[in-house]
Amino acid sequence: MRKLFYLALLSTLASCGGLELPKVEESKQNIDKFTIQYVELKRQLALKIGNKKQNEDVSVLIKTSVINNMMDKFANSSTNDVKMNFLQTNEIYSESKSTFGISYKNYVSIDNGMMDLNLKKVRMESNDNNKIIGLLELEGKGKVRVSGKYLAVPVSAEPEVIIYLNDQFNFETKTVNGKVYLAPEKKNVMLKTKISIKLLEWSVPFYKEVPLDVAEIIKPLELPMASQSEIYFPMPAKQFGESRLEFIPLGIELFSTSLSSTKDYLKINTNVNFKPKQQ
Amino acid sequence: MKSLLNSIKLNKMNIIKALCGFSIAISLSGCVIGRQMAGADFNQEEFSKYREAKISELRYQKAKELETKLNNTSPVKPEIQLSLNKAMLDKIGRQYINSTGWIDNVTSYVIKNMKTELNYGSALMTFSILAYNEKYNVNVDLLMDCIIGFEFKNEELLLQLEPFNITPIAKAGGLLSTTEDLIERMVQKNLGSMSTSYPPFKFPVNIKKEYILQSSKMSVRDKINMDIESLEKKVDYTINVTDISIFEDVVQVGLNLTKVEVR
Repeated sequence: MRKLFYLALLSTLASCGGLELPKVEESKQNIDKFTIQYVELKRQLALKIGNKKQNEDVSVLIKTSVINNMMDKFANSSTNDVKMNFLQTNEIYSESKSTFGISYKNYVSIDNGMMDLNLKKVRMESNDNNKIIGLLELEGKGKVRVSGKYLAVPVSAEPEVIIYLNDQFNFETKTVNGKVYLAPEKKNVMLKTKISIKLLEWSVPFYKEVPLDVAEIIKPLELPMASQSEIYFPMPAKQFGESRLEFIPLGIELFSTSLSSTKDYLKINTNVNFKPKQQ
Repeated sequence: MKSLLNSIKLNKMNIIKALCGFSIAISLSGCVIGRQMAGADFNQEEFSKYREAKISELRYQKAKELETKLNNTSPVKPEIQLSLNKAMLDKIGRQYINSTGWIDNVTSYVIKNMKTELNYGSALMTFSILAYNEKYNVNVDLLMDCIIGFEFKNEELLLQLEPFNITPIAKAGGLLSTTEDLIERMVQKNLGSMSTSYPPFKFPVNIKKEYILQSSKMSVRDKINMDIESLEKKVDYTINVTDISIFEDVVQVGLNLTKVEVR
C-alpha cells in the first residue's frame, strides 16, 4: 500500500522536472557553424593583431611620459629637496705673496654654512639604443661663513654661494621583492660651486666642480606597474568555518628581468616565481 | 574562486538533496522517476552537445566583441600595458593544486588540477575537483571547463566563470550506489547554470599604491667638505584598470595613472 502511495506521488511530481534541450544534431550544426566562424575570425584577428607571443611571464610597457609626469610632480613638490651642510674646509683658496722681501700668504677657509637645494628637474629620455638617459638639475643659493687672512690681517665674511648641477647619467633596472626600480648607474656628476668672496679689497674668484656619485643622490625609483612584493591569493579555507576562503600571502620573486626601450616606451620583461610565506 | 566554491556548495546541496530526498524513492520506484523528480531527467549526450554548442557560440561572440573593440578604439596604447602569458596564468593556477577546503563539516574537497587555455576574446579554465561527503560516503570527481568573462561595471572589474562540459563521476558506497547516476546528472545540470545563480567575483578598478623614496646622505671630503642630505618623500598614486583584452597567447591589461601626490 505504502509503495503504491509513493509511486502515485512520484508520478505526479515527475511531470514538473526535466530540461528542454535541443536535439544532438541541432547542437552539432551549431558547433560546426560557430567553429567555422571562429576559425575565420581568428585568422583575421591574427593578421590584424600580429604575433603577441612572449617568452617571459610578464611584460610591462610603460610610456616614458608617465614616468616623467611622476618625476615632475616629485621635483615640483618642494623647493628644499636637498640640504647641504658646509663643513670646515681649510684654505679653499690661497696665494703666496711677497712685499718688500716679506713673504706672507693670503688665504680663505670655509667655516660653516647651510643651504637648501631645489631639485628642478629629474627626467628620463629613452632612445632606440636601449639606453635610458637620466637628466638631473639642481640649484640653490645661500650663504657660507668664511674666514682667512689678507695682508696678514684676519678677515671674515658671509658671501653668497651658488650651487648648480645639470648633468646626464644612465638608468638601470633593479628588482627587489617583486618590484622593479629604475636606479641610476654609478657615475660622477659635477656640482658646480661658485662663491663670490670679497675680503677687504681682496676679491677671491672661487669656482670648483665637486664630483658626486649620482647613485648616491638619487635613490631607486619604483616603476608604477601595479606590482607587489606579495600577493594575497584567495584559497579554500583549510578548516571548516563560516568563511569558505582564506587569503594566503605568497611572496613574489622576479627573475631574468630585462629592460629595453624605444623612443616613447620602456619595456620590462620578467619572470615570476611565487613563494609561500611564513605566517 | 568564489563562484567555484559556490558551485561546489551547490553541488553538495544537490548531493545531499539527492541522497536524502530520493534515496527512498529510488529504492522503491527506480531511477527514472527519481531523475524526473530531481529535474535531472535529460539526455546526457544532448546536454553535452548543447553545452559544447553554447561554448562554441560564446567563444565566437567573445572573439567578435574583441574585433569590434579593436575596430572602435584608437590604436593608442594605454599608459601602462601589462601582458601575462599563458605560462604565467598556469603558474597562478598551480597555486590552487592540492588545496583543500570544506563545503560543510562533513564534505571536503580538493582541487586536483587547474589548466588555462587562451582564445581570442576569451579564456577557458579546466578545474579537476574531488569532493567527498563523509556522512554518505559519496565521492564526486568533477572535471569542469569554465569560460572566463570580464566586464567593467560601477568602478569594479567583474570576473565570471561560466561552466560548460561538466563531467562528474560519482562514487557512492552501499545502498546509495544506485544514486550515482542521479548525482552526476544533478551536478551536471546545476553547475551548468551556475553563473545565473551566483554573482561574479569583483575586483576594484582603482589600485591605490604608495611608495617611499628613501632619504639619502652623502659626505664629500674633497675641495670643499660638505654633507648632503636628500629628504624622504612619500609618493601616492592610483592606477586605473582601463581594459582587459584576451588574445591567443597573452592577456593584456591596460592601466592608466590617474593620480600622483607627493608628500
